[in-house]
Formats: sequence, structure tokens, C-alpha cells
Amino acid sequence: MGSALLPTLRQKREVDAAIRDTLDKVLVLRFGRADDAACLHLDDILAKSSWDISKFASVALVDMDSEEIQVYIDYFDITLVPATIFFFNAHHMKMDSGTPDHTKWIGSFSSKQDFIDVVEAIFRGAMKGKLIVSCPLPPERIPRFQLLFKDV
Amino acid sequence: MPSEPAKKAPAAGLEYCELCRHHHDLGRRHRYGRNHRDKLGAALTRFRSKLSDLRRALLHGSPSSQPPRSRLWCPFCSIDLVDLDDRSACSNAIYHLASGEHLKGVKDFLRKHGGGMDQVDSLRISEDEVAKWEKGCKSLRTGAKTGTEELIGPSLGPMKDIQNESTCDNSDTFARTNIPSFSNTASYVVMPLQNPTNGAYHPISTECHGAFGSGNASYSAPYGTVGLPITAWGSAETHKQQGVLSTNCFHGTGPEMNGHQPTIPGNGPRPLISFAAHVQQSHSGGNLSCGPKANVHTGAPPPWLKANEHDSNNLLLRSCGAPGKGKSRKLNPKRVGAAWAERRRAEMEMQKRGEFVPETSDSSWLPNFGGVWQSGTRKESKKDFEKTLKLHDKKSNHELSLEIKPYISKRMVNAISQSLFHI
Repeated sequence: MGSALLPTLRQKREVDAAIRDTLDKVLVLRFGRADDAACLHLDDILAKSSWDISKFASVALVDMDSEEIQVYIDYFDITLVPATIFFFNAHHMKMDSGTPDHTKWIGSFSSKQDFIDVVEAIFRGAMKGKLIVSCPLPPERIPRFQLLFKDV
Repeated sequence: MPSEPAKKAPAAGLEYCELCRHHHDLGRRHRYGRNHRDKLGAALTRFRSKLSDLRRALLHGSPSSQPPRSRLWCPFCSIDLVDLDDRSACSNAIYHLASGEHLKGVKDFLRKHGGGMDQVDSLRISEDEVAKWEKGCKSLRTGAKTGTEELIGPSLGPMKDIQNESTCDNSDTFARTNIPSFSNTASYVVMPLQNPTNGAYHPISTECHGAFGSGNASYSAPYGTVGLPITAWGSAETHKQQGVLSTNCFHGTGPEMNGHQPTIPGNGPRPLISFAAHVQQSHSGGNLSCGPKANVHTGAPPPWLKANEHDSNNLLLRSCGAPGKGKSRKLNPKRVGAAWAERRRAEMEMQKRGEFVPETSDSSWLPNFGGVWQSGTRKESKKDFEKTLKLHDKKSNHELSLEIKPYISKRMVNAISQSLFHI
């Protein structure tokens, strides 16, 4: 139900347009699949929060199964699903949440407020000129995962 | 047996201390007692505060926080200085406090009661201050002769309307006019306007007299008073606010001024409306009956407002147009991707306007991304990725068949070549 409010991007040019045309706002790109449970949970949170953060952020869903999106999956090195990547003025924003991968957020959020806090932290850091920000959430609310280097 | 020690000589005599108000036989030792020192300090402090009030009121003209004193007791000389609010009598007080007799009295007092001699200067008025005061009085007198209404010098009491008190010949008639005036200092160079200049400014000294007594059809406030809004004229509410000030304020016919209604000779009391009307007229036009100059005194609008009248129409357009631009101006220029955002915004505006925009993005465009296993800059990681992408494309495009050939070492090659040679 929430996903109906959020645009789903299936083509590279759509993703390019979203990244290039979102100015002075955080762009939240969720890479995932509609049939994945964690993705659905995350989509629900994103949809409910999208209005609250509409003044400083915009949210879009990217379908990983699309062919044209594979280049982005390779480029962003997305292996775990769902993966949320943040952009600001076409620049990628990193977040140090204590996980091995600072380039994206793996997994879902425990609550709407957590997501809003994360986006706010990214926005504030971006407005100050920082490309990497610290995660405002406590460690227990951050999903943990293991990252393998070239499947090693 | 030794004779009893001689009785103590009879006491040097009982002395009466005016400060402590009791007799003692301690002689000079009494001065160092705690009670005496406290009482001395209190007495000196009291006198100093009275003196400072007097000094402030008489010499500087500012009202004191306390009600005006009519008499001052000089404890050093045991003289009562009376009628301090009367200009002629208070000169006696000032001259006394600056006189040698008072100085002697102060020194004797301090010597007798044990205060330090360094306090002498704070308990008298210096010659410089007397000279200043005399100068002020002189200018007041000369100003009074020319009919100025200003009360030069101090005035006791906040609401005494020193501006309306006049020392000129027509004092009765001028004293309660609606004329705003400053409490003037003894300077002729900067004089408040006392009469409408109608565009031509004339020094007060020449016109003050005529302005009030003249049969001007409408009596209007001088609008040249600096720092005060002309709209205060004719407005009772603002008069209430301004009436508190004893100096540098307009006094219009507010309710508090009812006791001082003007009686201009030859003219009846001016209705407020006429003042306001006249002022408004002059204020709005700025060009009325004009004098050669349009300036503050004539009520002309300032030049920057005149210039902006033309731009006022454009301002609306500017404010409405390009809200994005305004936004970007407010944003931090050091934010991430600021330059990109400005460039992109300009491109989007050009596209909206229908202008040709060179296509900057193609299918191979990739955003700035810091890789997971990034080792160098983001640009480098992007370039590396693009290289691998190209390679992958080349590999997929070219039908390259990989020939697996056996490994032939150099020895084998040599052996084969020798065998062939021998054959």
C-alpha cells in the first residue's frame, strides 16, 4: 500500500534523472525487490515517512530485477537486499553506522522515526559539506550483516 | 608606702562630636572608633549624592532621579544653601561650593573628623565646572535676549517643559506653545528649528522671535527636529510617550500639556488639526511652497526612497520570479554538490524556457560514488569501474575463442630445432 505512493524506477535513465534532478534534497534510493519481506517492511516505512521528510528528502524505489539497473548494482556493489543508498546533489553520501559497508544502509529500519533520524543526519551533514556522516541510531537498532570480499 | 599614684589628670574635657552626636573624652582617639568612622562615611556619602544631583542638574541639565532640592545644608561650613531651583539663587550655592571658604571648611572638617584628604575634590565643585556653568548661563542669557525658547542649562524636574519655558521677552506667550524644541546647548552652530522654514532654513536666532509672534496662518511644528517622527504631531498617543522626556522631545498638545496651553499673542490657540494638516502636507509633498532645497527640514522624502519608487514595480516581479534562485542564495555555499546544484538548476531553467541545452548526460553517465572497497578518490573508483565495464563489454562483443595451447619450453624448442637441423 505504501509503495503506491513512491515511484518505482526500472530504467537507468529514470534513475539518472532522479539523481540529477533532485537538487538540495536528500535522494533515498531503495534497491530491492517487491516480493522480498524485508523490502516490503522497508517500503512501508519509507512510504509512511516520505511526507514527513518531503521538505528535505525524496524517496524512490529501484527494482533490482530490471536489466538496465544491473549497471548500478555493479557500480554500487549491491549484494545484500534491501540496500538503501543516499544522494545529495548527485553526490553519494556515506554513513558510518558501525557496519563494514558505509556506502549504503543494508536492511530495514526498526521504526519510522529511525529512518527520519538517519535522513536528517545525512541532510545536516550534506548541508555542512560532509560526504560521510555518523549514524544517529544506537547500535542495537542497526541491522548487522557480514560483508565478503569477492566471496572470500 | 608609696603615695598613690597621682590621680589621673582631669580629663582633657569632654568633647562633643557632631557626627556621633555624643560627648566623649577620648580626644583624638575618638576619630578612629568604628562608630565614628561609619557615621563619617555615611555623612560624606550623603553629601556627595546631594552634590552630584546638584551638579548634574545645574551644570549638565539632565533631570535627577530624585525630586528637586530646594535647599542644601553644607555641613563643612554650617551653611544652608537655599532655593536651589531658582536660577539666581543657586548660583550662590555653586559659588559657595567652589569657593575657598568651602574648601577650607572641608579640609578642617576632614582634619577634625579623620577623613582622608583625598576626598576633598569630591566634596566641592571645581573651577572648571563653574566656568562651564557660567558659560552656559551666559549663552542662555544671550539666547533669551534674542527670544529663543530653549532653556539652556539644566532644568530641575522632568516635566518642567524646559523647552517651553522661555526666557525671551514674550515668555508668557511663548512658554506654553506647541513648539517642540530641544534643550539647547550653548552652541549656535546646531540649533533646532523653531519655526517652519518652508524649505528655507534660517538660523533660530534670527527667526525665533518672529516665528511665534508672527501672524502665520498656520502654526506648524518644525519638522526639522532630528530623530523624531513627524507623525507624532497631532497625535495624542505619541505625545504621551514623548512627554516623559524633558529634553529633546516634541511637545504637542497632548493631554498632559493641557496645563500649558499656548497663548500666542495676537493669535488664538492653534487647533491641533491645523498643525497636523500642515505637517502632513509638508511631509507628503516635500515640495510645498518651496524653497530651493528639498531636505529633511522641508519634509522631503529621502533620495533613496525616491529612487526606489521606480523600482518598486520591479521589486514585485523580482520577488516573484526565480524562487529557486533565492533559495540557493540562502543555502550554504559549502554544502555537498553546491556547484553541481547551481549548474543543474541553470540548465533546468534553460530547458524550461525552451533554450537548447547541450546534452551532458548519456547512457554511460554515472553519479559520484564512493566504492565499498574504495582505495583512491571517488573519481578513480569511477574510472576503474568504467574501465572494467568497457572491458566487459568488449569481451562480450568480441567472439574471442580462447585457444588453449600446450606449454613449450625453450629447451624443447631448441631440441626440436636441432633435430630438424640434423635431419
